[in-house]
Amino acid sequence: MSESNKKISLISSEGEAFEVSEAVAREFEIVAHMLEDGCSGSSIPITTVDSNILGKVIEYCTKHVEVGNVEGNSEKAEKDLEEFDKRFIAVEMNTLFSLILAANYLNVKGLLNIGCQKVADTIKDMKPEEVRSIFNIENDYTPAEEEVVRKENEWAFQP
Amino acid sequence: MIDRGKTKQASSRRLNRGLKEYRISQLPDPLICHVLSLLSTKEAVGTSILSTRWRNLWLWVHRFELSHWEFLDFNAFVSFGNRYFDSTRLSCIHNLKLTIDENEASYLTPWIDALVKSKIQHLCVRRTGGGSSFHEMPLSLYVCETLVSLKLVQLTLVDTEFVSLPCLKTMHLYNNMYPKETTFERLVSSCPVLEDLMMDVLRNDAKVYRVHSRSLKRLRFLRSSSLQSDSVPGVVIDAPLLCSLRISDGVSKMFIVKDMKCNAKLDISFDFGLEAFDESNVSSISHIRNFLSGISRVRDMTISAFTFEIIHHYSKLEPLPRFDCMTRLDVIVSLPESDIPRTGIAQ
Repeated sequence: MSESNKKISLISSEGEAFEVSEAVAREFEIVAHMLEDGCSGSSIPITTVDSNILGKVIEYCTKHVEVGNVEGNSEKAEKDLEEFDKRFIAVEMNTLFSLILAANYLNVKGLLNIGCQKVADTIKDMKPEEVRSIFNIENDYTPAEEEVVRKENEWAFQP
Repeated sequence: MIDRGKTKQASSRRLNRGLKEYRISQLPDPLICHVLSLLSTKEAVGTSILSTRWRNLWLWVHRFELSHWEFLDFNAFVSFGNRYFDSTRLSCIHNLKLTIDENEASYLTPWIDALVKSKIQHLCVRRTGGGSSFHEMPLSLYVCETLVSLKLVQLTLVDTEFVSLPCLKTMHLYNNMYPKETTFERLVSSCPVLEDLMMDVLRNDAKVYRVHSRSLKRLRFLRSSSLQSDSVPGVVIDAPLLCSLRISDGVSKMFIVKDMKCNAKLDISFDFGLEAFDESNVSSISHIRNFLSGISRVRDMTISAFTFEIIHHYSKLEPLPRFDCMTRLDVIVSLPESDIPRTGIAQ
């Protein structure tokens, strides 16, 4: 794979510019499509993502591009990347949700998957009350409604 | 790379935001469904209790696994299924694994009908228990235009004149009943893009299985035992694109493989229905001759000791065909006192 030297500026919602290589920018499928559609400008506004999150998404993509470029020793590289993903996604919930939203908007599939997997792993084995409290979900069922749902899906609440 | 100044700014912003409460509710429904699809079905359904927004979100998960043994009793299983497979609610399921029991299964037809309507792509239906109730699969399954993979275990595939499975690529059929020999034959030959077929034949099934396919690439056929019968159980394979064939069959007397591809890989273990080679058995000898000429273009062959022995005896009576394309032959031998279970004989 030949390394493109072309630099592209990604502009966050606050107007902050992040200069990245074209290969990294192309990890954002939304950017890749823009480039393929002939958008030749060297700066691309990412209006819905703030600097903190954009910086993180760039960090993720940079690592994945770097590892993808290393030839040979693919097993070790894969393990290394797995470790990186694990550390990368170990963030507090608010950042996690923002990362998922950004990955969804920018269409970075790998990041979207590890983000959603992290949420799923957190929910798993939790009682409903715990899930509500950790994710701040307001229980707006009336007791009668809740009883109906509990009856309907009874099997799913058995240990 | 991001410089340190930016990282500092970022962390102060993060601090400010830390005061806000985090909410999963800020994720749009499709993203929550993505999360739910990474949970087990039971866990996903369990989220219905969280709030009114979550009540029906699990219904939008593309993959679902429903097993009778997770329910308190049969009625609870059927009544949940009847609500879930209500075709007015079911809109987007792509992947379903359904495990059913031996109780009467009149519920199957409306459930499968609903799945076919909702454009199911991957379907696995498995009947557990060793009993004799092989529930019939409804006819709608045979005309599912979206189905890509199908796995059926211990069921009856009813006979039908018309089959159209234009997208089906993978089919696993384990221990099913086929009312007629043509039922199976028609099913396979009516899948124009079928590439993988795995098949375990039920005990005491002494039919001839015919695989006619213009697209099949890989076939695995297992048949272990049967009652003695007067019929001539067999396997006929006519699949010009086949590149990998594995047969383990202790029942069939006849194997016909038509025009095997020159780069094909073969793994065979069978005895042509013979307990021992008998040179006076004219029909067996003719079956062996036909089989060998059909596979003579194989590249890579693994063969059981018993099959090898039969071919060896046969070779004393009649010349073997030339295996011009063969680059590798493995004969599996069991050496009770040896540490080496596998012997390679390079040709």
